[in-house]
Amino acid sequence: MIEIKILTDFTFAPGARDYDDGKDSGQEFYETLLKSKFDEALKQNVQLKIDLDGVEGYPSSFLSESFGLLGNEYGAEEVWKRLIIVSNEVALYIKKIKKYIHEKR
Amino acid sequence: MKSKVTIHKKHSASRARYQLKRRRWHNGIRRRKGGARASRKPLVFVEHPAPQVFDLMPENAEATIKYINLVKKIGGKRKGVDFNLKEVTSIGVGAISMLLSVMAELRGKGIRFRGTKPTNKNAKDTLERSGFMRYVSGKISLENRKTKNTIFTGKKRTHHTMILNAIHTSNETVWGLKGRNQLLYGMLVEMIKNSCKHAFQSDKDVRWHIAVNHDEENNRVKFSFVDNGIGVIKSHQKGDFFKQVTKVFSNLPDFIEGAYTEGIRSKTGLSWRGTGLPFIYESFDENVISNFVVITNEAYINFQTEEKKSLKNAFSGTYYYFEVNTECLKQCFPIEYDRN
Repeated sequence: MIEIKILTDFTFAPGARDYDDGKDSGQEFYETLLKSKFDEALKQNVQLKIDLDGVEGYPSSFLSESFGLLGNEYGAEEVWKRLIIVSNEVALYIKKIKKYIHEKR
Repeated sequence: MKSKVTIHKKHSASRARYQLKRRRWHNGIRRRKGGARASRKPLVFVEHPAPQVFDLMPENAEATIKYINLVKKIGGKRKGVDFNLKEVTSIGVGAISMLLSVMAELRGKGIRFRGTKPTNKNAKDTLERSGFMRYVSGKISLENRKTKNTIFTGKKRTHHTMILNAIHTSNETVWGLKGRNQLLYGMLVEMIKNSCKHAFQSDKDVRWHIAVNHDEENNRVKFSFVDNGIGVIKSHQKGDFFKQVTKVFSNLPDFIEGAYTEGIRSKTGLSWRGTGLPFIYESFDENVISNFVVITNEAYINFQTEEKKSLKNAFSGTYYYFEVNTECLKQCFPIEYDRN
């Protein structure tokens, strides 16, 4: 299994949608970490576990951009079956991520 | 032979005269021919009394916004503004932050301000405790100096972590623990970024203000967010999409409500793309916040009471008011990371 813990691997305070919105955006997360880890998981044919806990919070546009791009690039079903999302603090984020992965862009 | 020291002193003297001339030019003090000093015209201050009840409750919003618009008009004529709050008996924190947003815009154009505080003790205490006095270099009575209340201002490049202390201390007031509120954080970042992206014609004009007011007796924190941009309606008035969509809604408040609740998609089949308004509304829908009010352009909407009305006195920017209290979804997590 490949793992990402956003608090330690990316930021304690996620930003908004894209680079124009400033640091630690969803676009930056996708391009600098999420895409490469997902590629790695695909290559090794393992799951990618993403731990969302411990940060200040997630603007919806952050989740929409990062996971929306992932779903768009690799196909919603492929992405959803390969991801394990851990969110013990805010369970709602899992439902939102599923929605953004499946949303057409 | 002239000493090096003499030459150095001469150079310093001419440099000092040049710097003084520059400073005087900046301050508008110029010399007429013959050496007489001419100063720029003194700024004329225009006084206008604020309404007695200066808040944004539905029954008072019209009068308050009318006053705010008058302040903008005075400043637009290059005159100073004299805030006469003497007769005010009640002040809302939302009205204070709305006033501050207009002042920030006018200050950028060189307009100056002065004012009179309310005579009414409650109103004066609310004003002093709000954080407003910091922006006008005003005196604060001793008993009002210790407060958790704050007003802070940001620009386009202001880092979103500026809001963290406000969130942590609000959790302390509501839930008794200084901690993270993930969903509130997400919503505030959406408000800020939405304002930066859509409310202003130019990045350099971006100014947003957040006021946080703690009601510790009732475990409640009141927030207001204001930008003095062009408002939600005007920012979307370009192109055919707006014309198609507004045909379906009977009036602008209905349209604004639809913009936040995704009613536009369900009524028209058209996707309301490009703005974070539904992301902002989600927090009310998920009970992260309560008493959510939006005022933008001619629209006034209270999502809690479902009251909607068209305003005769439009507010050119966007104003949000909401509360976090013990009726809201409990979101209070310890801070586990070390920022240092």
